[in-house]
Amino acid sequence: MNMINKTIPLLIFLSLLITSSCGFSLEFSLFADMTMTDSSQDETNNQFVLGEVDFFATEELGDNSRAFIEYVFEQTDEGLVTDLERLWISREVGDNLIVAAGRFHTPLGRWNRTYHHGAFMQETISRPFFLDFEDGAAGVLPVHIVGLMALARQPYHWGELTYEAFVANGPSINTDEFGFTASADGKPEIDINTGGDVNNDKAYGLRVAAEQHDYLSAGFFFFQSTIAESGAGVNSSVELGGDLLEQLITGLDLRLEIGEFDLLAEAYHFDNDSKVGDSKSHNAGAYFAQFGWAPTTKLKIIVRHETLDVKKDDSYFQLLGAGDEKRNLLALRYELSVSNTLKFEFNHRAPENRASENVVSLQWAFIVP
Amino acid sequence: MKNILRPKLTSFTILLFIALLPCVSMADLILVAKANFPLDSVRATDVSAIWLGEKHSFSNLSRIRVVDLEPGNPLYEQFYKEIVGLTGAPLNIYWKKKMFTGKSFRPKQVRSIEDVIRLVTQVPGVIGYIDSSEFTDELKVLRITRHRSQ
Repeated sequence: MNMINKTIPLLIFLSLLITSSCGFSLEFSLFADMTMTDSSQDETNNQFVLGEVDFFATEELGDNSRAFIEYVFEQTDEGLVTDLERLWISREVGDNLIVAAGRFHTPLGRWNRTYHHGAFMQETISRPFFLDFEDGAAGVLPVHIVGLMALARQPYHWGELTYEAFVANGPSINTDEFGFTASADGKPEIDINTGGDVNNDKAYGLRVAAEQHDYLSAGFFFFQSTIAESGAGVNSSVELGGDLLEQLITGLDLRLEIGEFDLLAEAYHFDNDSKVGDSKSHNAGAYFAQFGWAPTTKLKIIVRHETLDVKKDDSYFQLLGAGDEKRNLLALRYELSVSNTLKFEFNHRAPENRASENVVSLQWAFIVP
Repeated sequence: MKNILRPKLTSFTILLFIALLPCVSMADLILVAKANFPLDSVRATDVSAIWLGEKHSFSNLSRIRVVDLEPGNPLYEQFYKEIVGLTGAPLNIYWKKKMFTGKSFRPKQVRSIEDVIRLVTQVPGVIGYIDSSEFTDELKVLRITRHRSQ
């Protein structure tokens, strides 16, 4: 069954490539990368890692409609995994409003909606750790959604206000396998329920941003959801579809570019209201601030600080195996050409409940347009 | 024999060069909108930003849509070189990155100047570029300035 689950998306994707070569106008581009990493931890090998291979395409379906697809091929311990990361159809309704349906990246801050899965796109090798994807080691945010999205923009003389509003399947977590506290054996991931929801509770949210071209952008966002049990509930005593916790995520993001300097910062606040166990409410926070300096058109130097600050008895972070952590990184990016870049990164990771670690990475990332 | 042919060949070459001259010279490119478009002139930086999907309106704040000729068309090449300032592979990769974000998409491309004129005159808010020899009364020329738009 597992084999079928992995093979069918691959066949669908290959058929899309074949139909595109037979005259259908869908034209795929791809991002890919090769990374070399080394860690200060003895048990971690230095290694070469083949990164995600990210195919994407978009096509106008008529004067006002458009489709977008993004497929990621990833080599994991379980073999080659294919993920349909984004698939949506949109339609322009009036001059400044677009409605869309499908699977999107959640409008949480700016990073998640700008870089998506494109390693070549992001200036550093790594994402801020708390913005990791749901199936990643540090994922604590529902960075994807499946549902409806409305995008609106209101022009002003100084720039424009943009609105991204959505309603989507609520996230869920399966507590059956690992219980209510993540362990060395593993942790559950946030399930965004692409194939269907486990209950009638929908997630909704909005990001409003003031933008002046690409030079200045300031946004506010929120994400409201009820996180449900997507297992049988053998550990949580909550049956499938029952509420595990109510969650409100709010945040701010800022991007500023002045000459060869730029700043990107995002701050998140979690309000987790547990519906099981002690039924307590907990607050948590996370932020990152990244400064960039481009002394030449080809070279950029980047420093970034990342922090996740959580309460020890917050069941949401216990479930996901996340605790207080700070990371500081220094990165260099050198453009070899418009289509490929070399990136270096030194990342100091200081989790509260584990030994600190230094990770050095070198990446060659590219786009095939 | 060679001496007899040389003046004829030289004259022929000069005539051929003169005959081909209009083909290799730069077209007289103009930016056009529908005749009732509210602006007479626009800033070159705004035109570039709108064609690159970074802006969506001029100073009057009404939504602008643009129409492109296809790559390879001499007018397309001239417009992107002289006005937009981005051509070839860098332009292509710029759009791939922009489209990847899902927020801006490449301008609609049409094959002929007739198609440009049809869209400009029939769809509100559409602007495009044509050769000045194709100008019709249904259109208005938008003067491209290096200063503030009027």
